[in-house]
Amino acid sequence: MVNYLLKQIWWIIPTLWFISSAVFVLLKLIPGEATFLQEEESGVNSASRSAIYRQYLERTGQNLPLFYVSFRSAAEPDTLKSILPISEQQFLRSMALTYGNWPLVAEFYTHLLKLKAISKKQSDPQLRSYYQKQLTKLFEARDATTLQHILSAIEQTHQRSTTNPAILAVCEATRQSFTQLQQNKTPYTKYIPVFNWHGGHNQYHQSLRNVVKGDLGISLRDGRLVHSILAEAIGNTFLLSLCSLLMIFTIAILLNFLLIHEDYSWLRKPVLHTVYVLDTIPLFLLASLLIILLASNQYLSLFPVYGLGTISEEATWLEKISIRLYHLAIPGICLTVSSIPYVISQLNAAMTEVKQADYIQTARAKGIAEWKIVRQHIFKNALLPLITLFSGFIPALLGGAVVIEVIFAIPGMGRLLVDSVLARDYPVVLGIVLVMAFAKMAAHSIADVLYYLADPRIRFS
Amino acid sequence: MKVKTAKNTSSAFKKKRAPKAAFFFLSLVGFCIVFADLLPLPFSPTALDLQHIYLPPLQTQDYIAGKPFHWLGTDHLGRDVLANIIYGCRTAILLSLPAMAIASALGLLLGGIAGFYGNKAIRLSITHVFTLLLTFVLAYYYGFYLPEYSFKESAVDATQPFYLKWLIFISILTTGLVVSKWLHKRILLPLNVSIPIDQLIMKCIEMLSSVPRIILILCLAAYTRPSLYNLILITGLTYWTEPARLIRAELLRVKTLNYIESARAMGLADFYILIRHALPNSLSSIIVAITFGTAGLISLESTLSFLNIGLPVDLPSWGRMVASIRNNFSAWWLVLFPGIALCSTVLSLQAVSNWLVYKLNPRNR
Repeated sequence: MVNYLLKQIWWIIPTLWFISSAVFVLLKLIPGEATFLQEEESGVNSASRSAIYRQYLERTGQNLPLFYVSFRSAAEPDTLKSILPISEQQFLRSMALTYGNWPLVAEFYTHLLKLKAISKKQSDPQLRSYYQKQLTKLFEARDATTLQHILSAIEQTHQRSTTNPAILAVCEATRQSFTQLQQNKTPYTKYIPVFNWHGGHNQYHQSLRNVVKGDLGISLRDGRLVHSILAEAIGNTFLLSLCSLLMIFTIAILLNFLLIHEDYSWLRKPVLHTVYVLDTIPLFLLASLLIILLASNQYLSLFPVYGLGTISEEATWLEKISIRLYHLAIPGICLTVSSIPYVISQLNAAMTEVKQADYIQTARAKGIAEWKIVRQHIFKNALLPLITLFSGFIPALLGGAVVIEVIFAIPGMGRLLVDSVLARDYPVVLGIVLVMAFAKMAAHSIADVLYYLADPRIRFS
Repeated sequence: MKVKTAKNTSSAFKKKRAPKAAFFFLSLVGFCIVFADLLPLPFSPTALDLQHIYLPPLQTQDYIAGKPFHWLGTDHLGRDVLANIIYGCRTAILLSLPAMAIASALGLLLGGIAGFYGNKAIRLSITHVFTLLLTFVLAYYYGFYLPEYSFKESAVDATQPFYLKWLIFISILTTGLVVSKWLHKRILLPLNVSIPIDQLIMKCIEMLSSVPRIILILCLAAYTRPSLYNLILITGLTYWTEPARLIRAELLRVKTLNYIESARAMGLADFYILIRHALPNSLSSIIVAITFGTAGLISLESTLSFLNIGLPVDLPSWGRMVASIRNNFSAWWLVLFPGIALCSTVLSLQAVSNWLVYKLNPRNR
């Protein structure tokens, strides 16, 4: 028993690792940040935005290296990563890799930064935007000829528009530092790779540590703690799933008593065929049909369709629960009707198989009442497949709850998930996925306990 | 796999009514897919008719007046329901068939490896693993990282052949392979470790299925731009678990049969036995898995377009049609007609699959 549970709990660790690693990899693969930076550069006050972005990176730990090990060329310095924006960083990387001589590249870059500062101080807006465009093009250039063209274009425009010797000197110095760079290149350093070991100071390690500590971070959308967002949503989903689960298994078990009972064998064919057809109807279609039938004011306007209603503070707990349940009626029915065919047919198959056994024949021969045979002999022996069904069924039910919550606007995990997915709120998405995985594992553990209680062979071995 | 009601419906199969109806309906769907552009439809599926929104079906005033007419009504933007149902077939099949192809190919491969090789058959030398890992990093470094950030003298010689990167990459890897073989033989310990490939793949499947599938797909869809192509990849990469599990189970059964033993005794290569002898004998369950999976994917496609996630908004789909019910609960035609199309397709596929189960069982011949 304890062994069973321990084995289950032990498997939480690799699953947790797998899920958080997968989310981490996906998170780093999407090009969301690059576009953010491009937008930023076109803005007027890019220096302060750059600073804000750097602060954001430091706060969220994204300035750290990605993984335990990284490799770079011997030609590039390890501080290159801290240069922002990304376009300048990549420009410098390609310069460093080609010319190899980092001090000279750095000198050239300081001259370029001076040019940039000058262009920002321009009073004429037309000239200012011209310089800015030229500089953006310069940082995108990947060959020496284009770079020289742009540099000389900037210099000529400066010569025409100003007589300030300081500005002209900067232009001159930039050009000279580039020629110097071209003359003193050490192109072979780039072929030496350098491996770096970062230890625990990397993003992957930090994110894993946070997950283990239970710290899911803050939502990107509204800056609230992911915990508290999840805590609000989890109750409604839990209530909905639990109610449906109870309904599904009660109805399925009772119906199967009837289907197995010999006196009601005429029920079998129509019920199983209905179940077969019902199983093909997707959940959203069923929900839409039920909305039309039960909630539209043209037909039966019995139940509310959206939300969970407002509950006043003074209401007694009975009132609170009844309002909740009243609002959860249609969603619950939908979830039940869509999931029940599977349970009914699986349970029916299990019970029919038990019915073929010799001991049932013996029981009949002993003259035991048919009801008693169904309840005590057949059902009890079909318990094990039922438990397997139960534990395998939880993920499907939670998946169904997601769709249902979106359709009926119930503020639960499902709607939170869809909203977060559409808003690309990754910490919340990760949190939800982890909760779902935990729910599945909890279901497995419960199933193990139930196996233990149901099967004397396990109990006494 | 939910192959459960085969027993109950077998009487209908003997009379061949159900599979006939199913084949008829599926060929109708096929016809719609191929000839949707040639059908004399009065409206295109994306055409908006804002003067006729939420038009109930068979409003014949326009027909009598000789104008184009919405046979099955319109949705909240005045899009024609009939045109959307016919073009919706195309989207449903365009997603589900390629996705199922990817999923079953992947499932066949991984399930086949897991089932056939088991935990002991694949042995790998530690020397190989380490050397290959190192050369892979180096190959990436020289093949892709350096060329990516190169700075040229002039714009003219910027035209580097694209295959150069791959050439460098592959040649370094090959060198690594040769070196590791040599090292393995001569210098380092010839240390072999057997890889529990079966366990690894099964645990991978278990972890993938620990998250509800729709949630997994929703999350993955969040990371990509909404497009049919992306969604095909995502669903293909998440649906492989069931074919894989099934094929593994089949292979475990087939593996112990006598003729595989004889093939081994004849000295045939493992992989050849897997492809030529073991897999064809598990074909029937694979086919069933594929048809059932396709039916499931069709439902999934409509669910996703109903939720407006992962698919572009301008793609005609059954689910998208149903989605407009949310603003007008009395528009029953928006649920009924696409719903009938969807359920009939799914039902037909399941009927065909049950018929295949029945046919492929040698006892029923």
